Amino acid sequence: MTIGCNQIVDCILKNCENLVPGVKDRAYFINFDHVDKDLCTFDANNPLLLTQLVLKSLSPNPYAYCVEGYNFSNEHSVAMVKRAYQKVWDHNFIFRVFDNTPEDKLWIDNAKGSRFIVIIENNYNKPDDVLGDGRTVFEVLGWDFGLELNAAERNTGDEEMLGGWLLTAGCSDSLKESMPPLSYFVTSLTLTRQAIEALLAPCCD
Amino acid sequence: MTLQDEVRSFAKEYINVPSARTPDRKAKIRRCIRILTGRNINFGCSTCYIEALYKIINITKMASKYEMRRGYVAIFDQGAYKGIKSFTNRNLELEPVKYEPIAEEYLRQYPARVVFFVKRPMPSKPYVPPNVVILPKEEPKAEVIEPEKIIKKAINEMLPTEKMSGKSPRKRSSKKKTDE
Repeated sequence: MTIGCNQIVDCILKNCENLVPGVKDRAYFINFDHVDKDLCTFDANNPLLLTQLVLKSLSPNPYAYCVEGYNFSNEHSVAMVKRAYQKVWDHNFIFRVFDNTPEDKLWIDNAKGSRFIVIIENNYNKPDDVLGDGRTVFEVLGWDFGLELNAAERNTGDEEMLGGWLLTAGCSDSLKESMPPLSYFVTSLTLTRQAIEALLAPCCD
Repeated sequence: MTLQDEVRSFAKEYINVPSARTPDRKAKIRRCIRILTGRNINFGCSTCYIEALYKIINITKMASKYEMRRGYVAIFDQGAYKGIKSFTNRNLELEPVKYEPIAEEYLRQYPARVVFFVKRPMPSKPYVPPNVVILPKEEPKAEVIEPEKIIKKAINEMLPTEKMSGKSPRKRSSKKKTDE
């Protein structure tokens, strides 16, 4: 057994900041195959801290596509799943589309057959004088295998959704993620936002 | 030839000659505008294609000589250059005149980060890693002509070697006979 592998090496002290729940209404979807994992970089000391997310060079250009909810309609949850020999992680992202245009339905139908990673923006931004603010803001779901659309539902009689779509993205039933969602932070929060802006499709503007 | 170049090559003919508006060319325009803008444009009318063509021509005319991988943030680690600490492909797309010299300087400072560039002009000098030394090309040595050697060589080729060396071939059999 390697010393230091899967062993606790640090403390968690009391957090004096107020936790803020929830995620922002805008999430970013990237087709799983479009991420150039060879050029993406991680923090040298923490494999859960993604420091550079780069897309492949393809034609047509790959992009991150926005999905905008309304009034905190996006939800995210993560849970550890205990298997016979290993423990894995189940990433979930629930989002709502308050519309029913042919374009929306085409988007949902395309998503049904694809795998994608999702970048979410947490409301919680922990200030940190040493390591920099904003390290808790952006997270990447589905890094290992990508998420898939596990449920898509539209009920015209639903009082809350008013005929919109309720969509649930998550891991496959068999293949779960090896790690919790990755934190995405490029040196500073400003640079991280700049990096995300550089990923966006023109339709996000 | 890229799709953009191909579309630009037939743009003039497409606009001026109605018979040149083939379904194949229309498909190329649709594909090209999707590549450049990332979205589908309404192609319900014939003038929509011409509008799209103008858009393609304008976009490709302004295109930067540099293109970086989407999502990559180029950061000057040692401090800002001309007041710019970082830039992305979006900056190159929106303000190519301002950011092209910045990209050039970035590649000069960090040549190994060229992997994050999809497109760039060929550098005037090739990049040589710091630990590699390129030796100057050696001039081929001029052959010295020595007439004596040439003559000797020619004679050697013409005559058998033993005669030229001045020794007569041994007659072993006769020697043996005398010993007996």
